[in-house]
Amino acid sequence: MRRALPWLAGLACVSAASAGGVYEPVSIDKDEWRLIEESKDLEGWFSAQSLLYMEPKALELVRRVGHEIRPQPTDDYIEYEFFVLRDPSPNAFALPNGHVYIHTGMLARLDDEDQLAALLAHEINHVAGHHGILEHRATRKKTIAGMVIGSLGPWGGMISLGLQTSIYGYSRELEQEADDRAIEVLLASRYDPHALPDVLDILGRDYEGLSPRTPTVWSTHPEVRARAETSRALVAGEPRRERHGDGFEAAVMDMRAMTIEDYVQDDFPHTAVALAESLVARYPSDLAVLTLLGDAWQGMGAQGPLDLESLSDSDKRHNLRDRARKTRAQRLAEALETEEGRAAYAANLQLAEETYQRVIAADATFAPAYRGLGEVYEQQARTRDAAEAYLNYIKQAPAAPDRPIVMSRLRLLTTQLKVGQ
Amino acid sequence: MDIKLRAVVILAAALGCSTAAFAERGFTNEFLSGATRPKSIALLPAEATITRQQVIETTGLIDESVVFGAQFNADVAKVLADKGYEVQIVDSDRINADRALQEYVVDAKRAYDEMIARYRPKKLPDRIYNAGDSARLLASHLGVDAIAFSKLSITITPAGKAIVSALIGGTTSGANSMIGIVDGDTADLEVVQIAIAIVAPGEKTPEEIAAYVATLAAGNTKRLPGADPSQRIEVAVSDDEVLDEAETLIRE
Repeated sequence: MRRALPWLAGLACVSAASAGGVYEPVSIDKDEWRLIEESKDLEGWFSAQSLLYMEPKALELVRRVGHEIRPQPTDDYIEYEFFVLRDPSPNAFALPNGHVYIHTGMLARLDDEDQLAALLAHEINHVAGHHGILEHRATRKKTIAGMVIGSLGPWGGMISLGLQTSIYGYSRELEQEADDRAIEVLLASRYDPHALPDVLDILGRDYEGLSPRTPTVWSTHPEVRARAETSRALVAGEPRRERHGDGFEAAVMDMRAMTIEDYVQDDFPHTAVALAESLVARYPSDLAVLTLLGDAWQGMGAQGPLDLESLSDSDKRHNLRDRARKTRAQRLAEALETEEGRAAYAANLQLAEETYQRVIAADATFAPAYRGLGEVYEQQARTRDAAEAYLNYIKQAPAAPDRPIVMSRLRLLTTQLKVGQ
Repeated sequence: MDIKLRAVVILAAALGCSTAAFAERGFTNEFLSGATRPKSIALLPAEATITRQQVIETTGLIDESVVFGAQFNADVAKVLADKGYEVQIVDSDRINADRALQEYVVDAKRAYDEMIARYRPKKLPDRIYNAGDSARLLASHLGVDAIAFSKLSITITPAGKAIVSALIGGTTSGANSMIGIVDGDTADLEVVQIAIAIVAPGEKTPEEIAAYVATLAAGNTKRLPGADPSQRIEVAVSDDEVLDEAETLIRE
């Protein structure tokens, strides 16, 4: 801790110099210009990996809100621009050149435009406060001292050390400064400053009982709940403002559905169920949303409900190691060897079936529910019912993109039915 | 038999077995037999990581990674075509221009990454690795029998950094790549081929990097058997026949 003090004191001095609401320019050296160039190049790299989410409604929303609250750049190397990355992890980050990225998984968890503004205001302040450059300087010092070069996360190999802090998290002091300044930005705008603690509350939720979670700006900071309390105290005296929700919902609805499907695919079923249940609570008669909930229950496999309060850090680390070593099928097979696992599996499939049946009862032509039902019946070894459900799916959606997949299942089931006769 | 001669014979037999085992490593038995060997393969953009390690920090050569990733795919495609496969290079321009394709590619790549992170070579024949419906959807959308996912990594280390690494430890120069082939019908992982190349310390010109990329592409494809459509198990029954049959069986 003592070692960190000198550079933390340095950061505090920079922050003090910029106190008063407006950040001062920071001149950068040749080496730091490279950081700016890399920041610009990342856009091309994300594009080459097809990770830029270009759906117009969502992108326009993020850009409109971002442009509305961005300050005048203090330096010629800063140009604010806003992007959405196709990634279900709840993350957002800002690069030193002013490029701000928000993941689809983050956008999908927000409730309204004010929360989006709060999130972007936080990120914008990392840029305006030159936090990337400051941390780069501090990291360089630490690196010279330790000669340690590490890499983190899915893009760890690609992202240079200089940019890693921009993506994976700043020091606690700089995060707090960005929070504090975000409130100032929100107060000066039409948005509700109470949205910031809301965002931090949303991000503090751990649905899966895994620790540490995938490193992100937010999850690597265990004090995210403390930050929520701090920001809540800061805005406590401010009147609440009317939230901006209507346009937001329309812009992100498809993304919410996509993100829940991503969580089902990526085996984060507790997260998928929680997000789907919250959507069902808001849109109880939306059949697509109900079907998503069925998919989420099905994705639970043999996992029972989690009592997060009773999970120790050691349990969470064990869960993470288990997850990293075994495939989903291997974990399911192991769970089904236990009484508890078999009971959870049966209960989850039952919930999924009931949900799909609710959809079909409301609209017997709603194809996706038949597919889900077929999958449930297959897992329950109800061959005839599964074949019938898939047959109904093909009848209702003859040109569905996943027709070849469903047909191959139907082929197998037909063979099983013939053999069984 | 003379004991020395017997030892030599046993050693030769063991070597023969291990060579055969090595030759089969990284393929499922069904791929080797031809039953699941594809006629057509789609190559997704290679995830290339070219980094320059310096004494103090690491720099990602972002633009170069994109260029050399494309070169890797082109090199792999040429070898596959020479071996008789129908090859589709699915580049990022094509993906970014088609929203549905982008969806499928991103989902399939995430599923593949999750799967390959748990990959153990000895377990490949057990068929425990499956990339799920996203890979099947992608194959169906592209109209191919299999999808190839590839990653390559080249680390360039100046001599000074290499000396520091030798003294106190740390990353050194090197190059490696991996190609995984996933069956489009089942989403099972059928092939994993890994290649490495030795990279001498020191700065590298683009031509030298291109040569490493070519070496890796050749290493990833040299043991891949040629296409053999005659052995591939195909579905003979039409969709309509299956639907009629299913309808009849359900009514019964």
